[in-house]
Amino acid sequence: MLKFPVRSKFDFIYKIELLRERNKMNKKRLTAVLLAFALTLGGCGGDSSTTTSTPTSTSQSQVVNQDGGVDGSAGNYDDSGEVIPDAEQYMNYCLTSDPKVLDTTQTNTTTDLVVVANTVISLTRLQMFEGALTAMPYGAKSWDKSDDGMKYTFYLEEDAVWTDGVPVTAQQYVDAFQRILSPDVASPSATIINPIKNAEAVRLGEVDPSELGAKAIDDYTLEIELEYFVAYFMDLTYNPVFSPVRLDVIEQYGSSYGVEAENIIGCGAFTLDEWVHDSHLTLVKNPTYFQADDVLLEQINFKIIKDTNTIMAELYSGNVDRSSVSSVEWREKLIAADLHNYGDYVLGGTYMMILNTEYETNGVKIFSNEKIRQAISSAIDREQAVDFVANGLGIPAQGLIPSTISLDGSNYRELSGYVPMASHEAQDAKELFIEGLNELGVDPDPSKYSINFLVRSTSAADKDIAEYYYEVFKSTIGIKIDIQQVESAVGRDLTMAGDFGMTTVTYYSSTNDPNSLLSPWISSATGNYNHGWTSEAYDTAVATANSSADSSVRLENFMEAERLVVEEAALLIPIYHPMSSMMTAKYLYGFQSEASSFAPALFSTVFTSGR
Amino acid sequence: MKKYIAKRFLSMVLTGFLVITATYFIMHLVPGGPLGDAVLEMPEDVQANYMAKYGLDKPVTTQYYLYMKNLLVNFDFGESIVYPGRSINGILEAGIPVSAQIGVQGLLFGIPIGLGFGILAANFRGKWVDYVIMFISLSAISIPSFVFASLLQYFLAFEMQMFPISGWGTFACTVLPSLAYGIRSIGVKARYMRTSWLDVMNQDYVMAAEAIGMSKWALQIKVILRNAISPIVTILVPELALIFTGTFVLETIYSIPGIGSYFVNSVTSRDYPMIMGQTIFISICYIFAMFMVDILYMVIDPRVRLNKKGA
Repeated sequence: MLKFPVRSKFDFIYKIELLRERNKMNKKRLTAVLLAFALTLGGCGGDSSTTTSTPTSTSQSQVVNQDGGVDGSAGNYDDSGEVIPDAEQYMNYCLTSDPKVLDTTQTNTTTDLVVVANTVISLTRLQMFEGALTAMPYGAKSWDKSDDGMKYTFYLEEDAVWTDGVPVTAQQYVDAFQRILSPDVASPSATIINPIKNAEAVRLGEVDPSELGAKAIDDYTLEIELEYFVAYFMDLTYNPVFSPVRLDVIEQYGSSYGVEAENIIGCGAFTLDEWVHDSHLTLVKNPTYFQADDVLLEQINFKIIKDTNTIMAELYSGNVDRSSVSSVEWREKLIAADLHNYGDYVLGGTYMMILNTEYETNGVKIFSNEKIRQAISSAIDREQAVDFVANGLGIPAQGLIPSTISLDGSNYRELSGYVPMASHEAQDAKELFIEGLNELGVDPDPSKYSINFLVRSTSAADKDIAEYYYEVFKSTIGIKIDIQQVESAVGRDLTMAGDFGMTTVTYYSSTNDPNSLLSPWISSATGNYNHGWTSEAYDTAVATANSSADSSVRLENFMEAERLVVEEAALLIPIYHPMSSMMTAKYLYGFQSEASSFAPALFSTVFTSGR
Repeated sequence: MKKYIAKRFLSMVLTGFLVITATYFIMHLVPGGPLGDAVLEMPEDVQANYMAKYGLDKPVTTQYYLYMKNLLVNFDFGESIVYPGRSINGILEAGIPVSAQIGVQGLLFGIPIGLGFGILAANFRGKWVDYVIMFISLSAISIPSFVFASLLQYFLAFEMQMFPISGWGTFACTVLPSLAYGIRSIGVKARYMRTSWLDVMNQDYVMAAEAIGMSKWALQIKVILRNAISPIVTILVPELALIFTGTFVLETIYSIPGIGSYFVNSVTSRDYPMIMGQTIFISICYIFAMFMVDILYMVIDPRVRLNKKGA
């Protein structure tokens, strides 16, 4: 175990100052170059700060401020004010790593899904409809739900065909589910389809795959029976795992299916034309796609660029048409160049601290006391953390659920009006901490305690962040934290074994529903954090919310669950909700930006005008 | 001499075997496993399926036996765990020529300039030319190559638009990374060459050659170069071996599809078959290079040949 010495307080103050300076100062070119080095260095160690739990959802959602529309503005217009698309239609997009496998049943990483989702059709697609993000017809043209909400019948699009002419049928969706649950595939997405009847039993090999609650009634009718009621079931159907697969083709290629351009078959708006590993991929328009007439884009060039600074340079030079921008310097430079529309979006996730209630230091299970855990929360200045930890790209957390998540079509945070963090922020951290120590009946001097702080990344940026927390806890409560910096693979073992005091993580919601962020903390969840906290009241609240079809019951119980785990127990200490600053070339139109926080971006609606 | 070569060859094979075995067990001793972030939310039974799929549920010794059998019988490095369905052989075959192209071009640029600088500095020892060259070499050695890479990319590609910022496929794409790769080589070569050259220049036989009236150029080429080059071979050949292994940072900055990034990432992601494939490849390159150094030495320097004969 590596333990790094912590640098002086002056270092930290200097960094805060530097950060403020940077935001204000009008830099000269040399500074930019030097910063470029810094970025390069930071980039080597991997992405800053912690682990992503559900990488399917790292795009953007709610617009905080925006200059111009999400849509382009540099386009050519006809007399009636309609945008005239360019004659040549292509888009340059950037991927930050080589896709691993382009098979919806084998992957759940963002990079893979953004490519593969555009080559298949899921049951539904997520779109803005009457002001709310809604699952809209796609692979299924319509559907029925039984009165008890336990059975869904999907009527499939009859014109949909694979690129070799074979029709898309209901059985192919069933094949996909069975494949995901098969031990041979060991799909990371297996739990997403848990609500389907017998899914878990099939995965464990307890029942035959034919017993699965998904059945093809005929070629174009798919019936899905649920194991338990889930209010957000339709919010699962736009996930790429709800896409058909061709078992005959997969069999033909065996384990090399989905890893080379030649070994893939699709039925979506685009087909994979070329894949040079670690360099680029090319998607071209699929003429056999059932809505091919509506697709304007002829070609999408995915460039694989791992270095953030290189991505920015390519974006600035117009070789990449759209990207998120995480560096303040590049953001200013790009805004000054005025070639892009930009929007800051709050992502559907939460950066938080997790405390281990079983952790023992100086012979005391220090986090077994509620007040001590709450004190940790009140010690954190969330505004400052946004500046320092997130480089300004975040909004201070009000609770565990970000403001982007809806409950049955309405914004959860607005609907509840509840701010779990308010009570913590009103408290004095040190007093609360000492009160907690007294309750435990141990030495009430905070300076006598040192607490393990696990950093699961070896990057320099994360080390700086850890040092920031060191200063925060030292100056507010007076405790010392022991920074333990390990590789992420080692960190996973440590958190699973409960061998940590506190650690940070960013959790992204996989569905547009509060459940996704709340259910990992129920006592039966086999999570990656052995934190030792269980609460029957919490389990009941989450279960009640999930099994009810009544929005007000769901709201009430989700609020209760959030109150229990965040405000009362302070097991989780939400700090901020990450934001993404999206730069889109002004000639690019038709992005479904809001939807891409919960589903991979679909490019069939995108086109250029005035490139 | 044949006996000597055979002996060196045997020790080469033994070293290779030891490296492979040691890496295999050390790699499994390091905590953490290949279940990446992608599978963070897997329930235990799914994780168990996953481990079984890659044979990771068996004892390490059994895994080692199976791995070695597959390696020696089929010359198969296995399948990547992080990149399912992709063979290590395939990844290496695709990436090595790319990395090697940057390496070869970089050295073609770096070595002649470096050696030339070294000779020039030696001949102008103590003059301003020497100081300028030594300053340049020292900077080239001490400044990391990614700094040059960023600088070249920023000024030549981004600001002046003379070359592509990143990418692969055309010769223009390879220019900047090759330059960045070669710059470091200039520094090292210049310093070594200068020292070696000066060393030879002060030898009695050089003075003797000068005394019998050899022309300045003949002296430089026939006498000094031949003698000064042999120490350079020791550092040159291993460097040639390493051109195949790629440079992580350069490949990241310029988006080059080489194998450099696999080397670094496979370790952090615990992609065991990939770690093994890379280690075996690199160690074979290196061990073979060392073997070649020994052989080359005999060719260049007859004294080595004579000494080793008895040994």
